[in-house]
Amino acid sequence: MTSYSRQITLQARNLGCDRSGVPIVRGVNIDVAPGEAVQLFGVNGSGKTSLLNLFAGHYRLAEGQIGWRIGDEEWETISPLNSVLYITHTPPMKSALTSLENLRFWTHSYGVPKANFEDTAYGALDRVGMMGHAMTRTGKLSAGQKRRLDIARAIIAGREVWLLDEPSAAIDSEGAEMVAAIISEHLGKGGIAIAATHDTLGVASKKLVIG
Amino acid sequence: MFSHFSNPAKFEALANRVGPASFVVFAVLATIGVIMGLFVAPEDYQQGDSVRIMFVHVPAAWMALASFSFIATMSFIGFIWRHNLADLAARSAAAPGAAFTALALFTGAVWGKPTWGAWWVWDARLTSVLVLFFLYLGYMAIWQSVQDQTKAARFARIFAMVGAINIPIVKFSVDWWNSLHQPASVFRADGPTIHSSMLIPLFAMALAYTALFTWMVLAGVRADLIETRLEKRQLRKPSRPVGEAEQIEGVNT
Amino acid sequence: MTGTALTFTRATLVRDLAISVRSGGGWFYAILFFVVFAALAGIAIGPELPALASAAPAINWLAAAFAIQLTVTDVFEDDFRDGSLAIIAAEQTSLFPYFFAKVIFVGLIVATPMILASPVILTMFGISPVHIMGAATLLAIGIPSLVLTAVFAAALTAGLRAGGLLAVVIAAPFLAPPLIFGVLSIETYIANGIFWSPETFVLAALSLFMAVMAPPFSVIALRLGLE
Repeated sequence: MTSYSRQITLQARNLGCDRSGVPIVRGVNIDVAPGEAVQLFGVNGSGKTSLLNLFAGHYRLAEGQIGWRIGDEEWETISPLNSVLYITHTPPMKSALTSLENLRFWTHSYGVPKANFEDTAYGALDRVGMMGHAMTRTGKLSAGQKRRLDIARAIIAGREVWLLDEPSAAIDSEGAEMVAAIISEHLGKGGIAIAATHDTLGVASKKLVIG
Repeated sequence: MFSHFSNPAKFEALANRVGPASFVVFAVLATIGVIMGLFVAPEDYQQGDSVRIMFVHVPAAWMALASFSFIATMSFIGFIWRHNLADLAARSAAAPGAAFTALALFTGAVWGKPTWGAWWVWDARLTSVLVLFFLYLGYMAIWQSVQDQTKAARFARIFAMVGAINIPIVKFSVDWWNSLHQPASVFRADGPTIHSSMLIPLFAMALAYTALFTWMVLAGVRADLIETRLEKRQLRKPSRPVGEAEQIEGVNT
Repeated sequence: MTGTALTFTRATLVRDLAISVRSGGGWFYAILFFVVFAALAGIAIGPELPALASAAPAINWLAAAFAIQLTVTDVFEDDFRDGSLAIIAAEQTSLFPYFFAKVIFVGLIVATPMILASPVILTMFGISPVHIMGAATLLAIGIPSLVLTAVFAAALTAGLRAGGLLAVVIAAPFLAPPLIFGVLSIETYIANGIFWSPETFVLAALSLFMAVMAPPFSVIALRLGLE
């Protein structure tokens, strides 16, 4: 298991997020060093996903600052180029395409060399227990299976910063352990993860409850 | 000075004074314009009394364009400085702007019937005003269709700016395509060619429309500010972290 | 454009083409609409060839404009709904490669069949065979402006309530110039036999203009949609 070549640190100070001009979250401080994860807990509507969207760069900061840095270089206000992997609450799989075709599209989006695609994709499919469904159109897959496919996307991406919105949603307990192992492995390589969850992920991490 | 336009509280204070004042200006100038236009200005030797609709039509056409320029300028300000009041001003200008445009189209048609013998002629100016009317409709449709008003503002800005760039292109296109209308006769390098008994009511009406526009925009922005204030009273408190981040142990590490 | 950006553009294009071919021939509706609209216009105008011929350039352009507008309104819808766009926007350096993939996609499955079908329509409307290819080429010169306007309107309305019809209303003011010069260039060509008339140059300029304007504003609009 090789470490990521970039070791990224994330620091958020006094974060505030508004939706429709309405304050949703205030005063969130987060520190994530390479190899660390933070789990955001909170009831529905407490602003967990909004926080993830702040880190993803979709929402504007109403207050506070987010700082990113590679190794011990200068702090930047935007995430390092091509460092983010985002798992949203809906797996972005097109129902007309097979699992493999869906993964192929995402693989290209991460600039994984074409020659390695088959190996990388099958390796990831095997890891998430979806080997038997490589040629199945994702429209026929269950919600949990699509979620597993999305986790395969995370493995393929090779990105250092994982933003996870309910990564084990719809996945059975066995699958949830698999997801936890994959996240732990990512952390072991010096990656960082921020996850919005109802339930504990089963990964050694910091826990932040908002509400 | 600028803070009167950027600070909502100061703006409201300003609007409370300027708003009613512009309404008075509108009432006085419109009365002067209508009386002079109907009774003092001479009738045209060709068009007869129907020329008098010009005092309603021409300023309305000016305002149609001016209002959209206002919307585009406010959108640009909102886009660059992300200022909420600029967006509100742009939104409040849409309805009066569309009304002026509709008025220009309607009076153009009424004037066209005796002059050209048809209610509608596909002449260059009428056609470009019609396209301008569609721009207003599209602009208002965007505000209507987005529930979240801060988000609607951002879409509306883009549409207004691109739309403003489009206006001269439309003008150029329809000019090329067809020009039956008389050349513009008020603004000329060698001075106006129409008589002052017509110019005075014309400018009185133009100023009256501008005052009406100012009053409506200020009233619109005020109403929006009040509405936002009412909504803010009913808000829940934002969520905050419950205690500091704590370390939890994983199952499989 | 760097290598990865090109790869991503191509991957998006291939994905969209595969989806459109597989999911019940959605690509077919645009060309079908184009032909049906033109045919109905012909029926409405009546069987007299001189009347048909004088209406032909206008019908050709109107059919193309509406067919493009109506099929393109939901070009971002699916990616918007299933989170693909949110992921791409968060993970990619820029949304331009994605945007260009969509424009090429629309050009291939919507605009190209229309250019190919327009000689048939023009023949049915009594345009002489000598002018058919030139008129179709003029459509090809102006069609980028229609496509880019439609994609811009779609980007602006992605994820909005009543997005589809709103996009048509939004696009209407921007369609006027290409319609005017599209029809004028064909008329000039048929009347005088001059292909590169001033109208044709303006038509080409309108396409170039939209090629400059549409991408940045569409990308900004797409990001706004995610906010």
